[in-house]
Amino acid sequence: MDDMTNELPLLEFRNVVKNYGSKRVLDDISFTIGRGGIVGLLGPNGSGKTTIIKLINGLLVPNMGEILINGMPPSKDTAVIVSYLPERNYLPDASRVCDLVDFFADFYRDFDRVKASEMLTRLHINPKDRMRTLSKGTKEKVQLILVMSRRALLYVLDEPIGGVDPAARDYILETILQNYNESGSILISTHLINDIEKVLDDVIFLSEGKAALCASVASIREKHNMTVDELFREVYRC
Amino acid sequence: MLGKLIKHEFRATGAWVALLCAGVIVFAGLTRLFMLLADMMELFAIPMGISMFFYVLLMIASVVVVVVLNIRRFYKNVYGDEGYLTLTLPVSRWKIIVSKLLVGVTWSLLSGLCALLSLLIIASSQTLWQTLGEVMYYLGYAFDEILYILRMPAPLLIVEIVLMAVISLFSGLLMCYASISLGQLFTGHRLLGSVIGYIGLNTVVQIITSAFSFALTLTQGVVLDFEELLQYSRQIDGFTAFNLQVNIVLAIILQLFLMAGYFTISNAIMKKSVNLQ
Repeated sequence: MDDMTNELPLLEFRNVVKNYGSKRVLDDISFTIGRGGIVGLLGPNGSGKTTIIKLINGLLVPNMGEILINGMPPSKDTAVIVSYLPERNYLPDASRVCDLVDFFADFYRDFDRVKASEMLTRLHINPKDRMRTLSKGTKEKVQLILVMSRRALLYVLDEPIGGVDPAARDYILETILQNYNESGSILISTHLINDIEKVLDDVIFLSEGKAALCASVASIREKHNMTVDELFREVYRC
Repeated sequence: MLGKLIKHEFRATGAWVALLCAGVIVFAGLTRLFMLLADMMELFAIPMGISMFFYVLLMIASVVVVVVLNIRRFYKNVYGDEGYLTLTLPVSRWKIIVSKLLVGVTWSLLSGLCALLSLLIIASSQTLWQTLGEVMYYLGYAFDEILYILRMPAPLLIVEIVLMAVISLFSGLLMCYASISLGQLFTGHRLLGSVIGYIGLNTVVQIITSAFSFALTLTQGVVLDFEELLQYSRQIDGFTAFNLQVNIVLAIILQLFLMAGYFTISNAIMKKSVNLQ
């Protein structure tokens, strides 16, 4: 990669507006995410977290504004460098785990089969099992393993730890920390801040369709003298 | 990437179609076997009847089920939860449509071939071959009559008929894709939306087709009524025959034009207005 691309922000939202019908979900939102680091996308339900993530992955088109990923608008070219974990079970039920590994290896050149099979073994998932026979939590683990086995520039994880047990949660966070590409970034949306706070470098707080706060976790601790979780509870007090 | 999409499409959908085709062929074979046995021993008429019943059921089902499977596959894999995977692959969206279309049409053709093959298995007795021969004879007679009316070489007409059949397979499936995609423009009740989309699309196509044939009638003074044509087949002059030849080609072009329309609708919605639930 040359110096030019390294200076570009990895992800940039410029005055993005998104409406669902007459309802405005994102209201002129702007933020950037640099290279390297883990960013928490935080906000209460309905604050636009999933909308932002869908926009990054081209599953929605903004009404106004611009989204740039490594300098490119969301397209099949950005899908090459973005590894996306949706917030639901999205893998075909009839497929075996090993079929899905083949599928990912076929379509994503940055997919690391060795890493995927290591993680499957570690979490005691049989590659011959069909998705429909797995529990909800195990399905989530398979999804996360596939997504994290790519050497992507930007990982976008929508509620990655919601359905799994605390022990697996620790392993998954550890996996996320260890496995991601050093020059890449991870964007994690969640409201389980407490569990994830220790791995976050930066946070973006969403409020009413705007980025209410973009700051590093260190500066939050310094400036407000509280954890991100405490600040979140304070900012979004009902 | 189109090749990979097609490969995985075949993999994901093949099992069902293979099962159906195998079922049709196996029951055709069983029925044929029991027919032979029943000729020797009356007792075998009962299993023959049962096997025949399942054969007919499967045969009808195989044609219908393949269509349903094709439509369901598109709906689930593009606009259902699996869409989160399909639509975020590093491939152009038009390639997704093309891969599903090619594989879907292949399955339709295959299930048709299986049905035909099973008929041949059942018909592999003297009397049934005779009946089949008679049917073929009358079909040939009708074909000769059409050739006489149109005054065109037989190979060309065969090519046109085959082309028309294949195009209508493609066009039919693409129309379903477009209807499903139109349903996505609704906020809720998207399946109902797809049905409304289908009805709407059908109405528009009817209007276009009617306008098209009306325009042809005006310019050529020919009434496109097949019954009337057969009735007056001996009186048709060279000019009319030529017009009819042109009309077949125009009908093919119209179908292609409609296909392009269906494709554009699906592609545009998948690109610009997709909003998975």
